[in-house]
Amino acid sequence: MHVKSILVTAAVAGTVVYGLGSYYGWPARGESQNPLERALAQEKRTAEEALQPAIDLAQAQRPPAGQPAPAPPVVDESALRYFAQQGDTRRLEAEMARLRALYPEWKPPADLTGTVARVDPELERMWKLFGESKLGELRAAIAQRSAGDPNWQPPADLVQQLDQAEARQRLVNASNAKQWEQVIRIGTDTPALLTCANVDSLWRVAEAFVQTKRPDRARDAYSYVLTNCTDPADRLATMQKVLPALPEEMTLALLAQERNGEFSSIRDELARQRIGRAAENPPLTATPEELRRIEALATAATTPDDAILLGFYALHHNDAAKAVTWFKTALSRNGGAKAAEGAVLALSAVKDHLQAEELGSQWLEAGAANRKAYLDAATALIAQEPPPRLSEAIVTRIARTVGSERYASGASGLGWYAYNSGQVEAAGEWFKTALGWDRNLEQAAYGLALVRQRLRDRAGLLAIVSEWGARSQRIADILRPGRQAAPAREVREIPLPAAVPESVPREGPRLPARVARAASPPAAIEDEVPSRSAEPAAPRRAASGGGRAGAAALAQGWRLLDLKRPAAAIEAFDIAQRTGSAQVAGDAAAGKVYAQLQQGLTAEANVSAASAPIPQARRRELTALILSERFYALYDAKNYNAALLVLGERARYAPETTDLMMSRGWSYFNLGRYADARKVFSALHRANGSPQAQSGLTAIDEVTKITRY
Amino acid sequence: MSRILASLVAAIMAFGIAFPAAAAIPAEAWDLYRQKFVMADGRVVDDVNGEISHSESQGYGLLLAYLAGDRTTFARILAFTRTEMLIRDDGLSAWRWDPKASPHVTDINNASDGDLLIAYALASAGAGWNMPNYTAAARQLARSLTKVALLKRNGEIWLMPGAHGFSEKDRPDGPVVNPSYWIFEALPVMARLTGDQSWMQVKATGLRLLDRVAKTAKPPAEWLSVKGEPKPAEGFPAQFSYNAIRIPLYLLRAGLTEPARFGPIRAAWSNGTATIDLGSGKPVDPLPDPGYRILAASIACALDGTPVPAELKTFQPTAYYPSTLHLLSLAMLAERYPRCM
Repeated sequence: MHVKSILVTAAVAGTVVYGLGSYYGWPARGESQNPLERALAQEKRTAEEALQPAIDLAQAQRPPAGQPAPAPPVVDESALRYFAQQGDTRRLEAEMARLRALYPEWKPPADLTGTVARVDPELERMWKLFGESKLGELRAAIAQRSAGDPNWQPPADLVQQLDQAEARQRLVNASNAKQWEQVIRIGTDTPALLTCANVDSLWRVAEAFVQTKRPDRARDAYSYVLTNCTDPADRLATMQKVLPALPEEMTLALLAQERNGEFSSIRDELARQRIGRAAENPPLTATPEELRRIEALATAATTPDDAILLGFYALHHNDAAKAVTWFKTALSRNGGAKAAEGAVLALSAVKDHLQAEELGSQWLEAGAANRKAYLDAATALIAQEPPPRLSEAIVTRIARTVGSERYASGASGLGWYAYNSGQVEAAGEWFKTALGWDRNLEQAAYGLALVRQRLRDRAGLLAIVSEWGARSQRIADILRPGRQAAPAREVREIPLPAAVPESVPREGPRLPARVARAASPPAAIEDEVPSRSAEPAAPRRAASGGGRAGAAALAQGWRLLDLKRPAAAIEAFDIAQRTGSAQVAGDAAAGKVYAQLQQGLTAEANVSAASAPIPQARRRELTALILSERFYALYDAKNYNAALLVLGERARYAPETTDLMMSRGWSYFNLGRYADARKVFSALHRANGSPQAQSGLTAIDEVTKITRY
Repeated sequence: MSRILASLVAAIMAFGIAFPAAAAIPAEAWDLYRQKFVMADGRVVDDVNGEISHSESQGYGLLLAYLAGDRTTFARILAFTRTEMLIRDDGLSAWRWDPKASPHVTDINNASDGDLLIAYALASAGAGWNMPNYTAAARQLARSLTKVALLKRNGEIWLMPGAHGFSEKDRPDGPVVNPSYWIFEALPVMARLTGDQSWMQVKATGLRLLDRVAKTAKPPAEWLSVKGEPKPAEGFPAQFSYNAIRIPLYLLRAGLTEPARFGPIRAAWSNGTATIDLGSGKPVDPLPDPGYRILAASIACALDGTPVPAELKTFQPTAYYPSTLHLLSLAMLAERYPRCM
């Protein structure tokens, strides 16, 4: 019987994967027992039904059907001898297994490398080509000899080996080109290829099943390897391929084919997967055994990955303190951005906001996830009540990051921070900014409503209430007499200080420097009388050498100022000026100017500033502040030319803040100087993409269009 | 001898093609081509295109090997084509194979003319050399092509250039076809292999397309939108260029000598073979290679009996593409127009 016919018959009978089983010591398996055969037999049927079966050129040199088959074969040992001479043990073993399966009576020769003389040098050359994987050249050599000698037939063994080698190569090429159906077809048509000697082909067929959504068939192929193949590396690699490819229950079933604990690393990985999944999806949990397994590995390791994994698991399973520990371990092992992100989140979760913000600020360049973690941490930090005392540097970098990320919750948080620190106008800017980035952010709308109430901006307040009243009870309540907070006092909020430090954020409204060094926060209700001790509110303002009474009075002055009680504050500052040291007196003089500004007494403030022994730097700051106030007064009075002159003068003392620039733009606009207005708004828009600047530009467009037509 | 005769009779009965008793390509010419463009592993190299191979070069290699009666090289080229390129799910050939890339197949899309050439060469060799497996392989390829590449539309059946990228769905001006993909001699062979007469309609559609283009007094563009009245497809230069210059060769090889179809091409080449800008009608690149000049000479000889210049009757390999056209032309003249040789 022709060898190919035997193979075909065997394939159909489902007993094709014969050789390896018997060679490696397992009995050949019947159809009902071998899942791979079952799978392939099914695929074979599918392929036969398909319009496009595989191209069968494998036996291209075979005589046409109908010719008498050659005489019953003598066992052809030429391949065996060739492989033995070449020392190609892998092929030798596969060939021996194949011959044993084909000819059960056959005994391999004792001396394979012996002196069996080749009687056919041309055939010798063909085997050499095969050994060198020169398959095209071998095909050519066979064709050449067949053409020259019509009586010559290539040895069946050579043809079979060549067919298989070509099939293997086609399978690899089809697999690399992601032609999964073709991969399966080649495997189906060449079952002899799918043996332990060609485990790579088995893997590729299995992958093709995975890619074509037939995981059960893939499982069968992988299971074939685990059942039949002994090479430890192949077995482990098989499970490594299973892990990402198959559903967990299939993976677990395959894992049961473990021998002598060979899959310990797979079990580790499986535990990691489960912990990872549970970490991302908190309702899921990992088993204590899985956690113990990975904790032991993480503790023993010098790498950060397992620590990070456990960190996220702990973080999302109500053990933030443990998460902090794991993430810090990971950071100490160069865990990088992911470890930092986790640490920031975990520190936030244990309410160590200060450390979270500090750590997060070092990883802002690492990626979006790190910036998000930082912003959440920073927002949590500033949203605390009472507002924490923060250094200017911290507030500045929070503002900068909030601005560059256009993070609405953060902007709103800064608004509340400013509001709670008495910086009502700055708060208003941040709330507006937050709404510009997220027009549905209720907390910002509420904040802005309170700001407008405080600023007695009745129209603005009504606008918010009409927009939000239906959606937010607390915003609606602002206008309801019984529910409203205590009436606002007849004082003006202090404006944004002019002397903004260089480090202020480029984007978003500038946060006044004073917020950064705000004293203890005011109570929510203005009328509340301060009851705290009059100790210095912040080191920066502490007296250093003056009498204790003077220092105390100075601190009291600042506190009253924060409580928007400028008249009382002026009295306190007066006392401080009289009784304190030179520095306390200087600070107190400045405080008096602030207080007068808060009272709306711009002119008086100017006098105080001019007469008081105020240090040079602070004097410039105050001058700029006073000029800002004067500008706003003129601006409100629609005296735009004069207002612009004041702004010009102010520029000698301090750089222009964003809101002043906005007002400059509107001044130009109101004067019909649209080109100048456009310059200003464009610059602002470029600098921070602010919606206010955009609306300025839009307004110019509208007006100029009307003019043009 | 009797075996060869029997094969010939079988071939003629099966395909209605005349198979040469002697090789249509002289051995010396074929040796020169083979040594320059066919690698030991059976890869046919397009030497001026970054040494890549494509289904077209493999198909031409197979066809030329058959025409030269070289079974050895045919087997070699086929081994490479099959293991490296005939790997698509639908059984067709990936069109592009790059020796510098890994994996080597850098575009899995097919090119229908490459598939057609491979199937035609396999069918020819299967019949001519009595190799049933070659015939079976040809039939499988032909069936795939029938399924993947034929487009029925408004009473016509078009040969689409590839499985992807040219249909109405893929392009606003789709369907887009390449008239030089109509290898007319191969179309009846596909019809017989598959038993599907659609292939004869493909032939008719192709000829009608060429006739419609010829009526415009311009040579055909490389890529034509046939969404409405045929016009150069968007995104391709509106030129009669390296693709389309094969059209007269394919017509003549199939014995389709209706003079009107050749008119605009002959006019465009009146001052020598060249690629032609269809807007201005002016030459773009002159094509002085003998492998190109023999195209014009073949038309002149086949249609008017003008003798082919002696220098074009001998073959010296230049670059892959003109060399291929040169051998195909010589084989055609020897087989169909022996008076021209």
